[in-house]
Amino acid sequence: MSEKMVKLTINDKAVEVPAGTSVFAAAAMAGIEIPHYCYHPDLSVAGVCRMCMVEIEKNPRLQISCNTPATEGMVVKTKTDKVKETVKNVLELHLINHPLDCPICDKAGECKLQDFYSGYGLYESRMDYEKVHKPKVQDIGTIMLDSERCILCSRCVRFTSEVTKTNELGIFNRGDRAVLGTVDNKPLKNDYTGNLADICPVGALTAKDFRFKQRVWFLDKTKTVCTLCAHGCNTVVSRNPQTQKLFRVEPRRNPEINKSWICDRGRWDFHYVHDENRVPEPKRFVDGKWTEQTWHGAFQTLGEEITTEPTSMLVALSAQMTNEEMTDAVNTLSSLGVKDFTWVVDESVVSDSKPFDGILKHRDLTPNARGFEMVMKSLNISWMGTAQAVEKLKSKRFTRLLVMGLEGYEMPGLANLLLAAPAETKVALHATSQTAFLEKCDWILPNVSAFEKSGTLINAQGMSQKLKASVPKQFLSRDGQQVAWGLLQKSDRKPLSAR
Amino acid sequence: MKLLAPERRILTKDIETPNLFRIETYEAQGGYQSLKKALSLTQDAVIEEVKKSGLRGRGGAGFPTGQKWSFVPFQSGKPIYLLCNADESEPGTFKDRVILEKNPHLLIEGIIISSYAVRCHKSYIYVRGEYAEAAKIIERAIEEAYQKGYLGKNILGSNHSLDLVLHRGAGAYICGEETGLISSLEGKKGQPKLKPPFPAVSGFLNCPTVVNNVETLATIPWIIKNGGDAYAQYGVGTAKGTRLFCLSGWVNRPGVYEEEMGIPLTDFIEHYGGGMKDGAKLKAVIPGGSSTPPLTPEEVSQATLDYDSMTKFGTFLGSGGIIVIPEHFSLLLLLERLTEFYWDESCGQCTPCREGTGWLYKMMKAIEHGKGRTKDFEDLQKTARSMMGTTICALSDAAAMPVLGFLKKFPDEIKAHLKEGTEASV
Ligand SMILES: Cc1cc2nc3c(=O)[nH]c(=O)nc-3n(C[C@H](O)[C@H](O)[C@H](O)COP(=O)(O)O)c2cc1C
Ligand code: SF4
Ligand code: SF4
Ligand code: FES
Repeated sequence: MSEKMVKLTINDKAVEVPAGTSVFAAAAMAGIEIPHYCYHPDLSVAGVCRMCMVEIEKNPRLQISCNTPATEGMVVKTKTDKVKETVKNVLELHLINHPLDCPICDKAGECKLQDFYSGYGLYESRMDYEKVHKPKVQDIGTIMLDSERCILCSRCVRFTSEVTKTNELGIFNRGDRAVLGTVDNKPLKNDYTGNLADICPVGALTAKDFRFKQRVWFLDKTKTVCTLCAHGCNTVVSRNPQTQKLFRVEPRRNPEINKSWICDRGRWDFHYVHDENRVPEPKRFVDGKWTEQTWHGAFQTLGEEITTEPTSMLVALSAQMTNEEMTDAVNTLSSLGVKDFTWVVDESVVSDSKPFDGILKHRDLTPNARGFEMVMKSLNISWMGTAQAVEKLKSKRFTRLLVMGLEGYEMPGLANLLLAAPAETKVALHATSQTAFLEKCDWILPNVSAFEKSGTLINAQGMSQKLKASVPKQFLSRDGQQVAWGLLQKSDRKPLSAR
Repeated sequence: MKLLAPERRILTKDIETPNLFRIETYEAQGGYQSLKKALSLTQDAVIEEVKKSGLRGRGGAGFPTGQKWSFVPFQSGKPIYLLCNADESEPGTFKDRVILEKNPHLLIEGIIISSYAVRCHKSYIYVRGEYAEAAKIIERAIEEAYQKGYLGKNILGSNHSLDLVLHRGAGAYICGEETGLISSLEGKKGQPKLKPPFPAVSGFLNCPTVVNNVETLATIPWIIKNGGDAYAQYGVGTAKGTRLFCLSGWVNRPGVYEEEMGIPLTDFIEHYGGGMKDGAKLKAVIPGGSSTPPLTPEEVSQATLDYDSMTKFGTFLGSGGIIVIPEHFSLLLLLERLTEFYWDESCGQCTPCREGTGWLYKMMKAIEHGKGRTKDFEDLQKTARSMMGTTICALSDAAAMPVLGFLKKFPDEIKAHLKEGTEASV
């Protein structure tokens, strides 16, 4: 690497970092934590909270580590008595006008102010004069703002100026009258507002969607990725262990993909996982009405159809499936003689490699179109694009269409295929939720959502990432792998193991 | 040390000349001759002369001017800016105003010479909003200088060009702090910027920037005309030259007086101020603007007006604002006013300053209103200490220093007003 490196010691630990790295970041790399409020790895340095003070040899004054570049031979100490005393004093000043209303604050349990003041034993305030009062609960759109809790770290202001570039937030007035607010008191209007609640170190900005629903210490967390577009932002998903339901989706930092952010859709559009539109069990349209079926029955019927006439069947795999689901589906169905495969995706946007908004959001709302291409290539199976599939459907080349792995309401690319299918084409859908096209189908099979399955996805940048289940399977749903193997077993062929 | 003879004054020798603010009058006094001389020298030679003079910034921090100029990366390819700090807002300080209103061309000539030295082609004078009269005078002087070819393209036929723009502030003390000034000039909220980067490397519009005080820049023409060595003949030790001291408070003749550094403070107050008004007894002197710790009468009698002497007594020459406090004046009232000023003027970005200035003011207000408690003495000290050396700019220190200074040097007067008790008020 051509990057110039510098060596320094922090608390007697030798650290080597690229030139230009701050002492704060160098310490973090060495696993040394420095108290801080305003520093954020994905925002510019503000240097205003003054909590990250360290002692640097030969410098009589303490320095803020977030704005001090590491230099060759530098000797840094982060826990001397002088540092501890200073940080304690600065922390005290953070608290004198803070309402300390933790019992009714949503951030309690993950508040950095709370973390530190218990750490420094500052329970009783020397400041017993009337505190400065500022506007309490204010509705600023998706977020609630409590200016009195705000410690004016400016993270949120920097976020709307540097990340979304919408400049919606500002700190108005000066001195201890300084108050955070939106410009002209307008509600927030960007696609990334939820991040504000994450980066606010205190309970000044809280997400409406999550506020007061659950105390944070009751949640179980899973590290996974978002599947709502081709970017593949890394996330942490929280579930309530009692109800086994999803509670919250938060970004998980990945400097190469999503930094510390996710879009509001990725954060809040998970509600389809638990809503009444979910398909609870397999259903078949018989004698003019939908009737409940067993998986056994579904596999039997569909399996037989496939083995009798494998070449009159078109299999469409949603780009919402994992590589593993796709691989198993293509392998088993080909072994049954199926020759025609296509994908379900909005082909007009599938080749974008970059977010359309310059931040994270892709026009391709599926997470694994790249994965589909790679799976087909690696299995050496030919497939047709949407245009060809549409044309062949229209010309009645197929009598049966099997669409697998659909998720959510949007199901990009599905309408194209279904509208092309003539009335007599029999359609089986494997989907999480009811669609407007149900009248076109004779089978509907309940699919799991991305929150209920694990596997590998390849994002628009071509990076493969792990998807991990964060809640148990809902209802009688089965994932693509289970469907693939089910169809194979129940077809009139002997199971692979018996061959 | 003898007082400075009027004919040896550097900045104010001709200050009473009628219509000195007109360019013709200024020229008739030999004005703009230093500029001609400077343009005949190399830029580095000008810097060298200023270094030799030992001139230190008159804005408050006292940083050596020649050295500041040589920090500028001249070859960076970016434009270089010279900003004249005329925000003069430190309580007790009103010296720049004299130059701005009475001898604007001296400042303009100083700016042109300095811009030549630091390779700057665009310069701004940032004048405090309240100086409306000064702004008018400067505006007109700039126009005159353009008409005479001292400003604009190829000044006096040389290769040097300079545009000079007057910018009026909106009345914020913090815009006198150099990076606060830069933010304000950039059209942003007037609040200081983090260092590093230092303005010399990345300041106004992220370009190399020199910020100098009015008085500093107004001294440059004399240094170029008479040489750095001649300037260094004035003053003592590390305190070279003369300064414009602003004398205010309980004296008979408050005003701005130029004196050589190093003269005894008592002589200064006696000679220029005509002594204490009504024969009052001296209680304390604030020597360098409201942010500098006070001197006791005992210290005043020993102090001389130079950096080292002030350091000896735990204070600073600062911006040259000498405030004389008589025996009968309440230090509580004084501290209440001072803490209110800093509370009002803090830009509020750094937590220790934002919260600390408010707390200091609350305590002083309570004490002044007779509601002080014994505990407040220690709380004042502790809070002020937490504000020292912990912030982006020196406003926080400026707010804390007088509190610590008065508490240390005049503990009895303050303690006399504190009662045992727990009830907080105000
Ligand atoms: C709070 C604060 C206010 C200041 N106000 C002024 C001012 O009004 N005028 C000034 O010249 N310098 C002021 N300064 C000092 C400037 O930051 C800077 O040091 C000075 O303009 C540099 O010029 P000099 O080197 O010629 O002194 C202030 C500093 C602080 C911390
Ligand atoms: S609202 Fe939160 S993030 Fe924004 S400035 Fe206040 S404390 Fe910081
Ligand atoms: S010390 Fe005070 S005035 Fe200076 S930048 Fe910080 S908050 Fe603003
Ligand atoms: S984290 Fe460094 S000053 Fe806030």
